[in-house]
Amino acid sequence: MSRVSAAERRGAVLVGGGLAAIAAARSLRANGWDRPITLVAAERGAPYDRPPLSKQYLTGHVRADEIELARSGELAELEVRLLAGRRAIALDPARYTVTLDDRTRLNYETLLIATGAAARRLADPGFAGAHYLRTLHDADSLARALRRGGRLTVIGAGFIGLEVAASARSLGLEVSVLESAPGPLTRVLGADAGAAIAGLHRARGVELRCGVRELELAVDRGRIRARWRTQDGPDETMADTVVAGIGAEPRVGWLSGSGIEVDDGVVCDAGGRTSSAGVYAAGDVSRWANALTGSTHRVEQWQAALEQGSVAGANMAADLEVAGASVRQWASVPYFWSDQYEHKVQFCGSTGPISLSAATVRGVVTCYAPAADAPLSGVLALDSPAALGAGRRLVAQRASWDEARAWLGEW
Amino acid sequence: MNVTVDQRICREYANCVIESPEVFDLDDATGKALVQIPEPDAGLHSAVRAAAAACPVHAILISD
Repeated sequence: MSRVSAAERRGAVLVGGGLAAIAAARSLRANGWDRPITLVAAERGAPYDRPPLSKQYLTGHVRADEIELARSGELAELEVRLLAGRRAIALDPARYTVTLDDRTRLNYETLLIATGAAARRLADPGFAGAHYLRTLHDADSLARALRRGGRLTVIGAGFIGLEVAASARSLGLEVSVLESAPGPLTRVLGADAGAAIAGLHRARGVELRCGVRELELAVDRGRIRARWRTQDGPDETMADTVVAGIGAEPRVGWLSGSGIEVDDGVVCDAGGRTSSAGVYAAGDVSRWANALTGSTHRVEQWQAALEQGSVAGANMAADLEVAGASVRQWASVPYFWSDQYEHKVQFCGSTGPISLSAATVRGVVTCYAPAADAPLSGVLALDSPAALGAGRRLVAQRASWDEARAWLGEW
Repeated sequence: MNVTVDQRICREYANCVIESPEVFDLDDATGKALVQIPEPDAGLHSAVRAAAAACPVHAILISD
């Protein structure tokens, strides 16, 4: 009845070729898993790391072979069978099978959903020529367009959009950034920190327009015209290239009919277990409970994907009572970084309406709390990784606001 | 435990400094990671291992 071999039926299948899946493969082996591991990656080629795509890779400072996720020979050492260029299209948790786009059916003993997220598309851009940035292919396509020079319009002043803006400026392009919110990154970092980052970009000659609505794009004599309104009235700009960075959506379409609970991502406990036995999820596609912070938000961050993949891999082995495997929980204050020109922006935890900033010798450090008498929930540091490391521990310890204020005074 | 950072590989992510600010810091001149405590005490080992795992370019080498 089945075309799969007995050996494959005993294996772990990791669906997705990104960081979470690679971390799970390492963790499975570190936890004593000695049965087959199959990695199903939608993209061809070696699994690669995404953060450089908007930065050093886009500017041509690193090559594709320098951003591979696995060290040379590592997948072979881990005895991972890589099925690259193959997409999972259906999952049947009751029969423990996953179907690929060439109709191959793989049986599994334990499975990880790590299909990541897809760049959110403009609702009705009026033309089909906008670039997005999620994959190596996207980055190559955008890099070719940027090499032609001219003017770039970036839609969305989130981290990706701003990193692309900074990369394009360093390549000598003129850049406009259009954002619907009142300021860049306000949803993530609040108004003050957003204003500080806006200042970095304006100082480099980026034209930043916020409060943009009724945006329309149209081709006009070989270039792209963007028209919009703000509270000050109508405005427009011409560009040679348009890129949109307006968020990402978890890739869960292939799970429809599987019965796996999805609610803004695959819902997971603090160990990566989904609503179906034998099925785990990690990374951008998933929404985990965090055992330390109590948060149940989807975290689209590199370090969270690494940790979740690692925890899920351990539990995939431990839940099947593999000798030497230990059950683990995700209990960590998540953090991320962004490079904006020569500045390093690092953030941990979660933001809140209460904030306090201090200028340190290296850069501005900001503490956040969700309410006036609540403990410290997050820290933002500009060019101050040591402060972020220390601040992250305070968040983990649920330091009081008074303690946070005193700590900030020491930097 | 002995910790080193391969300066040719380091790409200044600074995740190691976040994971283990006692052991790692960035060089003000080069921006690259420096090891402040090459032979850290046992109490720091788990943070150092987390730092090595969190390095996107695997620039941190640990020998036990």
